[in-house]
Amino acid sequence: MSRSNSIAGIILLLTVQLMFGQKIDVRGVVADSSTGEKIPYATITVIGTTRGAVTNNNGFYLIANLPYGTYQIIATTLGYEASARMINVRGKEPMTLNFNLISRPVEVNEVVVTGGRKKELEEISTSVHVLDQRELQKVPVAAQGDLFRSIQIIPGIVSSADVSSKFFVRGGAGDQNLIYFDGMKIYNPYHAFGIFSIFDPDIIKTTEVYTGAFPPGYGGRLSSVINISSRNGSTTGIHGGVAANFISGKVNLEGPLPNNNSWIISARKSLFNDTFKKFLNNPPPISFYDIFAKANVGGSEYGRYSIQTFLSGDDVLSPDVTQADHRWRSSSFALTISDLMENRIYFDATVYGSNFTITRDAKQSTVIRDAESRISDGGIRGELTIYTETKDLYFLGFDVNVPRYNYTFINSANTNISVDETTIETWAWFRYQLNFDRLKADLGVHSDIISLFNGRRLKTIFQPRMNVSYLFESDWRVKFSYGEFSQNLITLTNEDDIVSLFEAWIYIPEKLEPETATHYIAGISGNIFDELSLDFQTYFKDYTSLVVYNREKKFYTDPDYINGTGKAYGFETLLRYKYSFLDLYLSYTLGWTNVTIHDFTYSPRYDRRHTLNLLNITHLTNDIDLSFRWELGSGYPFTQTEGFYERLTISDLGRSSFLNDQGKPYSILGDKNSAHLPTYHRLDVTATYKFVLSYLNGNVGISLVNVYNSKNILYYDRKTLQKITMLPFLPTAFAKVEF
Amino acid sequence: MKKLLLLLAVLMCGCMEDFSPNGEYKQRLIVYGVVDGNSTTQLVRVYSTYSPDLYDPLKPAPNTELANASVRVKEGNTIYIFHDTVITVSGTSGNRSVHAYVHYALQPVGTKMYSLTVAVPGYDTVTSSFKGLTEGDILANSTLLYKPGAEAIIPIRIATGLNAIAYLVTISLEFRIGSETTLRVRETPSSVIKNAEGGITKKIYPLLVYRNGSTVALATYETVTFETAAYLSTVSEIKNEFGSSVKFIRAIISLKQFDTNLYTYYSITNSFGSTATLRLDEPDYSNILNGFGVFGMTNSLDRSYPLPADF
Repeated sequence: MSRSNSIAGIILLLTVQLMFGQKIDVRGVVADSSTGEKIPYATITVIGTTRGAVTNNNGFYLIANLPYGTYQIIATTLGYEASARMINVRGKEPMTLNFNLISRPVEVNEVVVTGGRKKELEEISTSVHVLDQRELQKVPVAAQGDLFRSIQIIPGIVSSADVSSKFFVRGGAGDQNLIYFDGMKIYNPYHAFGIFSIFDPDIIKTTEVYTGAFPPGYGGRLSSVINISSRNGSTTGIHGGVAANFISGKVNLEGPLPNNNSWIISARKSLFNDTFKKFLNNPPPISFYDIFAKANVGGSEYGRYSIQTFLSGDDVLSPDVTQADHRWRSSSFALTISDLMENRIYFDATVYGSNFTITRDAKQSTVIRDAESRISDGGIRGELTIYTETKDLYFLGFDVNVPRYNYTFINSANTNISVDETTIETWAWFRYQLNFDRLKADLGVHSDIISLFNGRRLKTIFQPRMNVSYLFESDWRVKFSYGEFSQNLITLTNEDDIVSLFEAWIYIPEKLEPETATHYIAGISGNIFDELSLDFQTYFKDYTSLVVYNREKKFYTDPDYINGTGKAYGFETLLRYKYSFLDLYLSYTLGWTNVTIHDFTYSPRYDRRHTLNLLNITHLTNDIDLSFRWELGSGYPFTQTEGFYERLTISDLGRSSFLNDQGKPYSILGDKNSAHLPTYHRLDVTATYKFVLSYLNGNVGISLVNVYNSKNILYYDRKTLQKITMLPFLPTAFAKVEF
Repeated sequence: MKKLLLLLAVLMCGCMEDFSPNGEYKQRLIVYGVVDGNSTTQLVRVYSTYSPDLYDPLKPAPNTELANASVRVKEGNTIYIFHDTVITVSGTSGNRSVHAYVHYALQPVGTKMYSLTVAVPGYDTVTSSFKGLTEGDILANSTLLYKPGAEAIIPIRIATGLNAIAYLVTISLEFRIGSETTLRVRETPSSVIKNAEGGITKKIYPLLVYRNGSTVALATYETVTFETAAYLSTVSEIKNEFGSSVKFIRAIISLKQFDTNLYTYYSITNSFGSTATLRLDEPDYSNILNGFGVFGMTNSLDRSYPLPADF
């Protein structure tokens, strides 16, 4: 805020006339001045009072019962010039005050992955990080920007491999992450068996990442929530861009529709086969595409009616007839209505549907068999936000989802198995956000209503959620979170697979308890001194029920899966140091995870003890950015081979003598996951040059992946004795032009 | 910045590690002994594990058969000492030799405990045991076998003996071609799948039946069924193959029983004995203490049903 604005604010404060009983609501939207895009999480401050608000996902804010008078109200948010406007509050009807903010480059001293104090949401919740599109694109990642790779610098999130953007959050399995894209539930958010996510960073407006104790509006998963909101498109003119890198090329276009509406379309296609074969001897036979389209077709000035669709596809087709082909296809649609329905009630509803299919064609493989898995769902999700005279908010919501899953495969007995079921999931929630002086709280309950009717435990029916924070010293804040969570849908995978190409979703059989977990999180955040900020959290996740392989299965009458338990605990530190040109971001996680089946306890494959991420972004000049990221992590658990023997299968028992059996080499394994792969470490560097040419602007750059060619082991193949390493040193380049 | 880069360089150097995927190797004995209650000749195969260093996926596995083992089976006060021998077995890729240990006068009987001890210099001695199986019983309507066609199914009632955890019931046809002295035997499927034209597209042979954990003798008889069409399809198949020179001798119903050790091993190495499992893994199982492999018992009861000359 400029000095002149401050002085004006003080003068105006003196002129405010308070009149008892004469109060009205002030409300409006905050938007980008050049594109008209609504800006979420902008802070609205009434100068000289304690009143204010934060915009919702549609840029809407409401300050209830502001006394008559003349005020200066300021809207601020990361990456935009602050905007101050005067308003004379009087009359009987609610007043509207909209803001159009002018975009400016993100300054070096603005956090890339946001710290804890900048956003209202983050002030309340212990384990949430909110990233916008600009922040996502600042993180150096392999070859092309990617949402899931960017979020892996957040403490508590790890990936199992360079070639997989699949992630594990605080010791949770890969299927415990709930992913929403504009209200559409995404079951397989990955391209090319996990190398990249399917979300083009250029279409993302904001991403909320909850690594624990997520609020009552989310359910059905145990570990994390990634809630992605797409951009609405420009309301002021046609804009677009083309971009290419070694992995993919893409086109984006957006523009206005009548009545302040807009549209946006984006398409991306892989360029693997044309680029990587120049650098790698045997590039993977991968191709992918994704298409996103969205139109905002109505709504009042406070809301929107939009329709959007998202399509993606992947093929991994091997020219070798003995190697299986894999195909993935996703399609989703959503119809969203958001608007102010009463003076203080804001309504959000989404009708959604999605379909995901993966097929595996074994061709002439003697090892792999044909398989197909399909999950399709449809449902409606709605939430009311009720504004009060204070900053307190109430939320009421529901979600009814009807997933159908079909899994067809040939099992190890060479028999064709087909599982085809339709189920219904119904959730409702209540949430109360308290803002009382230094105390902030987010309290509520998430209810799995279907559990009421199928006799499941009370724990899954009512899941309390709590986030409390207290500002105890200037900007030092302590936080505590607690929550109970359940999960009914899981993926059928062999958890020992490093890269799982085929993952089928199924509903947990009724004979088993659903998966449940309780989260306890405590933390503190603040500034140690002006240049150094700290966010420290400790967490304990009690998996009171997990669905795991039945290690003691001997006969067909024994269940394939049984309930186990688990624990994940540790602490996370996020430090940011800024001095002169140096802007250093450091995150460190120390964690433990274990799973217990009967009396046997082991570390799951994704249990990583230490994870360190070091990130630096420097604006060398106005046009040139230089960034590097170094990751260091403990080796993942690994089961050693202690020997081999020729194992007889006696498959012809009763018909032929065991003397005829020749046996196959069989690995004698040590204790499960009792050893560790070597330490992982990798340095990536990216340099970007930004340019403006008449009506065009854009950037070009180079990205050096694994600068010192660290031989990080992806996995060790016991049968072929090959140590498969992750990405080698890989120079890539990128270019992007926008108009 | 220089200090930072120096710190990174130091950290990177500290990260370099040697990595071996192999744990500590300890050689152990592998023992396979499937004891047949219908025979006095019993065989045990003994060989060794081998170090991961010797494993080469591009080469045949090393021959780890052991010729200097002491193999003994004890029942009460009687000790049966096995002797090493070489047996020639025929397979799809021709004949091959298998080293085994043999005893020619051991015929296990029901309810008795048989304990195996295998000792080889340089290895931990391994032990194992099983309880003998008692004989089962078969009841069948011979008319349905020599004059099939009136009923859609051929029901066979069986009772299992003590300690049998699983069984397999088969029907085989014994026949002679022309003046051959050797009799031929062919198993019939339990059911067949036909296409719209009536041609057989798939033959389904009986599977081992698990008795759900019970090792006590069946108090009452269980019924297993064969489709008459499947039985007749085998008759037709033989006739079509050999023409008028074929002469059917008899139908043989066999009841094969398996003890807990043998069936558990079989189940785990063969998709848990199920065609419907979702699992794709193959856990380890052995009842050989200090080693790997399996030691268990099977027996068999045959009932013969002569077939008429004009069958």
